[in-house]
Amino acid sequence: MILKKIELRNFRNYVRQSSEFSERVNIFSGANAQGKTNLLEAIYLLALGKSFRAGHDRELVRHDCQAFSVQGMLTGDVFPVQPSTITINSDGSRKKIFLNGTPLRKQTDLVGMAKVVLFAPEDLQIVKSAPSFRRQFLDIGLAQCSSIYRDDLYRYTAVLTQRNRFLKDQIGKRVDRNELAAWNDQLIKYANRVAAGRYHGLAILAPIASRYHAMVSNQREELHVSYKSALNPASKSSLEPAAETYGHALAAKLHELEYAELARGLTLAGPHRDDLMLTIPDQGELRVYASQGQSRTAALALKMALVELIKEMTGDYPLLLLDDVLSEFDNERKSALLETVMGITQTFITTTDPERFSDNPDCKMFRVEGGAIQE
Amino acid sequence: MFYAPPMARLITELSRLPGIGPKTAQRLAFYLLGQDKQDVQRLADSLIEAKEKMSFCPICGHLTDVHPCSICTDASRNASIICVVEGPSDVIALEKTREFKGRYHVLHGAISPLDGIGPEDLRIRELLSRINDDIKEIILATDPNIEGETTALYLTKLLRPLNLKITRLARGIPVGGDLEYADEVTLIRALEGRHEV
Repeated sequence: MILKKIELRNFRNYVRQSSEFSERVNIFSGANAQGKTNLLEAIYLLALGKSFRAGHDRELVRHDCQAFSVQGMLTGDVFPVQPSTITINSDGSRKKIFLNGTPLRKQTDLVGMAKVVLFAPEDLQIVKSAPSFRRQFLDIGLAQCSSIYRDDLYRYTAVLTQRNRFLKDQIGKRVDRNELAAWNDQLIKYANRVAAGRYHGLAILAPIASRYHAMVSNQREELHVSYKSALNPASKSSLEPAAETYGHALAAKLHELEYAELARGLTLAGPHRDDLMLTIPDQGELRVYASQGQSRTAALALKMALVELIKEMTGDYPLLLLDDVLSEFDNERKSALLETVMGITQTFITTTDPERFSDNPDCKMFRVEGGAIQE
Repeated sequence: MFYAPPMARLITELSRLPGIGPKTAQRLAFYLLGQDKQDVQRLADSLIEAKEKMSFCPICGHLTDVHPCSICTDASRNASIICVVEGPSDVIALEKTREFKGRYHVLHGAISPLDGIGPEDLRIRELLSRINDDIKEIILATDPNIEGETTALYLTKLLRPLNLKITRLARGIPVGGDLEYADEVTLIRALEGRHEV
């Protein structure tokens, strides 16, 4: 899949911008606060329908304007005609998404068409940050790979929200056993599916991440990636799909936690509390022990493995968006890995230091200044 | 103030209707005032008449002008099957098929803690009180969303000890649709719900 062209109107600091991209590597250079990351944000929006940093669409509308529009022209097997256009218009509160001029029936149908992997400076913290960041890393990847996973995750979240409200509302009252049992059944049903999707994805991702990690650490360290759940301590050493057992374990856990859940008004077990466990044999869990360098190496290996995961599961490479992270990997081996991946999928890079690419024939150079992009 | 008080009042009342915004309300108000008085009178009478004569059937909860409703009193219908639905519009939808010959029970909603709706807010006690030795089957025809599914599960747990046949509407590929045009999620769910022929 290739993003051939993008057009922006009143998006962030762009008034009107139209740019055509190389199928290989696109470099956007310029001083800070000129609009480099805004461009990556627009590409990300075309893929996922929301921004990776704005809490609200209103922030995406150019100052003093009514609405923005982002349009991408793409080619690839997932599109009905070649090239196809994806258009996203929003006045900051209501968003409309069109494929070739026809509104999408559901906005979530957008996900999975143009796929992306974003690597931004915040992602360097993925190893050390809270479990929710690692879950999100996996969920955003899997959601782009499978409409079933998207649907299961959506339904799981809907059940979780309803069940939490139910638990909260019954505090201090006599609990309706049948209603609790009904919500438990629903939670277990969708938890099972979400967990199965994650186990399946991790079984593909883990060996690739290990391989990349070995490459950049010069074979000195071996990265183990596994699914960490309070329900399934046995899976520590294996990634064997534990779909059915996950549901059974959750049922038992809910029974065990019932008193605590009813007292606290909160769902205390399930995929929304699980985590990715990253370990190095003989050293233990990276989240606890990793040095700054180790944690960056693991973050890099994970992100690049996600690119391969998406290729493996969909047959299509995602667009790779690198937001000012190259300078973080000056070490030869690490940048060599990045460059390998950059070579196989269309890549968009923002940097303040374009010099390092100037003699690379695969790179198309752009200059970003005051909300304008020039080739 | 652009409108004289009677006109403003009409627009306000009209814009309280679902799906009617201020613009549409204004257009309807201008239209109505352009009509003959007897036409407007007919509309007003029909509103009052419907409101006065229609109410919920004490047995099944469907909207009706006779008590009990004509479905509950129709002796030719199969009294041993009760189809449980969320709203009166679901009864209409099923009746249009002319296929279902049993009786109905309207819950008036589905379990949804976020909307403050629990089982005690639905007509579940009324459903239980209808169950006797003559009832053989309960069809759970609540919506196939999270709330409808949870309501069906809840009713299943409640009814199971009563030793009845409990069934749930099938879901999957729309009839008349081509398999190749069904969306992926629908197709996979239909596959999960497949049955032997």
